[in-house]
Amino acid sequence: MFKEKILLGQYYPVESPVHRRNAACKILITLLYAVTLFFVEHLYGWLLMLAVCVGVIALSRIPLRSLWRGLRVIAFFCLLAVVLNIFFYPGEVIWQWAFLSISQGALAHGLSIGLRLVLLVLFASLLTLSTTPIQLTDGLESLLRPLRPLHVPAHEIAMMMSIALRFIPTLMDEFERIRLAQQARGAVLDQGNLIRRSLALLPLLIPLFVAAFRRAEELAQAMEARCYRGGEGRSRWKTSCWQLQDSIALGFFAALLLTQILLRIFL
Amino acid sequence: MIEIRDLHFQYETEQPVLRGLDLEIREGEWLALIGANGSGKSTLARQLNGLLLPNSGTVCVDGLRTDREEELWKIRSQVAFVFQNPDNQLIATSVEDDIAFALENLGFPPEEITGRVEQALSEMNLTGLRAKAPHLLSGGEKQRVAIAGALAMASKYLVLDEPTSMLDPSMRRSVLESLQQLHEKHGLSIIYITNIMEETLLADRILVLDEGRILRDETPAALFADCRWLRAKQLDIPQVSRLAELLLEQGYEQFRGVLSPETLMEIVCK
Amino acid sequence: MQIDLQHVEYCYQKGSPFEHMALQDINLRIRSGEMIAMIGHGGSGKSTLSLLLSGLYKPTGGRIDTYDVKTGRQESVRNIGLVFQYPEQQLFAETVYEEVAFGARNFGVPQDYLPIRVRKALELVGLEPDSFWNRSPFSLSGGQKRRVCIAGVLAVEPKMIILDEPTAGLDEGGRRWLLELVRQLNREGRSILWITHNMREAAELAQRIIVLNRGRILLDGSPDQVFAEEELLREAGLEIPMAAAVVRELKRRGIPLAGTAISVEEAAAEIGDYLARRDAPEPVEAEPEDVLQAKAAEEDGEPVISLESVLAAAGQTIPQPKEDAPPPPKEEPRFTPWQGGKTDV
Repeated sequence: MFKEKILLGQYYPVESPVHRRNAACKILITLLYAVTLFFVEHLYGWLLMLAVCVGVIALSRIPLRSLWRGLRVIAFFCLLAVVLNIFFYPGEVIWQWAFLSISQGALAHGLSIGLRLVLLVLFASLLTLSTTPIQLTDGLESLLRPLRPLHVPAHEIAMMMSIALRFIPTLMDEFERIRLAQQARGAVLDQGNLIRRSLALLPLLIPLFVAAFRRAEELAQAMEARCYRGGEGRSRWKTSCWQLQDSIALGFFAALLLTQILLRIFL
Repeated sequence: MIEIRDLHFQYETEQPVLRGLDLEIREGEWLALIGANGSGKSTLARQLNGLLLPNSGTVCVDGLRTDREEELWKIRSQVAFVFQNPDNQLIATSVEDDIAFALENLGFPPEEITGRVEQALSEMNLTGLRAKAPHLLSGGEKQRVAIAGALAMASKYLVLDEPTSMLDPSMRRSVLESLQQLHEKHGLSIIYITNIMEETLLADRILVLDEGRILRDETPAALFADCRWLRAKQLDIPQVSRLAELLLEQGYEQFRGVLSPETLMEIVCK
Repeated sequence: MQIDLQHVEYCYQKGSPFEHMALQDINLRIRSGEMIAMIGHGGSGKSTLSLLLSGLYKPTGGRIDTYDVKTGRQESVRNIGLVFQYPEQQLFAETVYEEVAFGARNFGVPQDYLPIRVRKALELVGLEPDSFWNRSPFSLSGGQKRRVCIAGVLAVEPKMIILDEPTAGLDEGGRRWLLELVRQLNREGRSILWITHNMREAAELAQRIIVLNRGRILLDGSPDQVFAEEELLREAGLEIPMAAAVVRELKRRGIPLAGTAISVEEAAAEIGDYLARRDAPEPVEAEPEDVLQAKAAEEDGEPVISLESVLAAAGQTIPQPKEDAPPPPKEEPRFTPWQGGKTDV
């Protein structure tokens, strides 16, 4: 028996106003916040974005430790981006050492890049920590549904995501089994040059693909047997409703975006 | 009733798999289907709900034909199917959502779905597992979820293609017990494909398939009385029948037709 | 080659909230040339133990020593072959040759010797080398695929072979073939560990049965010894084969049987013997008073001899089958067809 891993390592189950919000609403808010980040310039603008972020974190009752985990992943890239920007920002040089130089405003610029990344990741983490994968899928489908006249296959996309979520742990277990089996046959995965290592992956990847295709075929049969005919005529058992609080929250973030644009124009 | 008339079927480029089958399955019957590999059991099963369509001949379920597209979907809500691999038939990310899957496909309103899902969960003793993700279930639990889905659809017929072959003995027992309960309580008609002979003892009728033809169609008592024929056909025999046969050979007529170990022991004790 | 396990334990994801103790306090010795069956329900730790024995997992507690008995030197784990459950899932190569040679090549068999090893292995599993050499493993039937996988393990020429549920998905013919192959390999001197949840198969094959329950060794002995512990087995979610159970139940109900039968044939012999003795005419000899009285009573038209009357006269009754006797043990799987292919070779 192989131990199953936590799916995506994300959803943090706790009761909070943030958790209760409609998933589609949260997705839209995250997008709005992300877009807003690109309009921020002035110090006051940054303070406002930071305050909003802190406020949402507090409301969500998600421990900082979980949030930090998400940040840790991008910590390296963040640092790299900041450093690169500090040292390669064009302008009047105010500090020099060997081949490194820092120009005027470079520090501020670099830091703003870093802050943008951090806030973006924090907010995205909040989204996935406060929303279950299936809620996210449903939310996405709700958002895409109005686009159906434009031939966007909203239901199919949502179904694909849902099946992927269902089978990721299963396929992970399968991969683990295959890895062990090939290891028992003496396969070595971590030696030699790039080419050797790539070839060494074949005994892992080919069986995995074959298995995935077979599962897909059997699953398709099972779905047909259970009267699946695509999205037409299909009802939804659990629907999430849109509440007043969702509209208020969405309105708030729309206002935030507007405020930042105005701040940028007038300051 | 399911009526099959002169059913012929073959896969694209291969040998004929089903050669002119005629069969009737009445409501409430428990039919077991046995035969060697390649005899056509799985193919026949998939004809019953139209996953495969005949090359010639007809398959009718309560008057509806599988080769008529509009009728096919009605048939599928009446003929539920449980597959051999417990994993590859569970679609949703939780037990209760999976049971609701077919009902959503059929367009039932949410309140009705809730009622049917609750009933199915409780009848199959899955209420405690309702929110669990499929990959965390045991093989036996997965099969019971699949059966619960069929129950929620209120189908009249349930086809099971070797549902216990990938399970260990205790899981096998729990699945069979659930099926027996459903059969008795709801009068569900069960079409059960298996190679485990002891499982066929629960059936009203056993069909022996060989190279696409039905060789025999008898009650378990009649079929397992003919051990020699079964052996000649490379088919297994329930242990109890084999034991009875050996005792019969020693001249003890009282063991003829014995199908259960209990009966056998009672006879010995008399 | 001998393997000693002392207080071996294995814990998955130690230290995390998902910690799971799969095996505890395993003490075991596997000697050269033994034929052992390991039984346990799902989750009992059978597969984990096979991974530990083959060296793929290292124990999180206790120790495992794999050594040559004569010299005391450590043996490499490549001397232990492991056939996984549904091994067809590992197939990846372009030709059967490549597939079978994979393990042997990885374990250092020189290039020149590979064709010889592959040929021998294919012959052992009954696949004609010349016709199968160049075929794609994916074009084979289910049974043939499994043979290829087993050939891959045999090509390494291990001293011990562990097979995890090797007959899963095979039909009766395939099952019998595999049992015979394994017996032959054992005759050639290889130790065999056959992991199954099929009691009858275990009894058919092995001289020694190890029963695992929830990560611990419940029983370890000959089939006879293990089957005597019906209660323990039932608690562990296992049952002895029908014929063996019937014979032991009859003995419990007072029928004078040996009660040691394991196979159907042995059970039929025991029961037949008993019935023959019961129905045989009484030998003429001085009889106790009460029996004579019983006889006198019977001559009034009742059956000449019957167990009931003799016992009744002696003041005993035949224990009647209980009203709510335990339901007959459901049978273990006999054979199951390969799920993917249509015929078996």
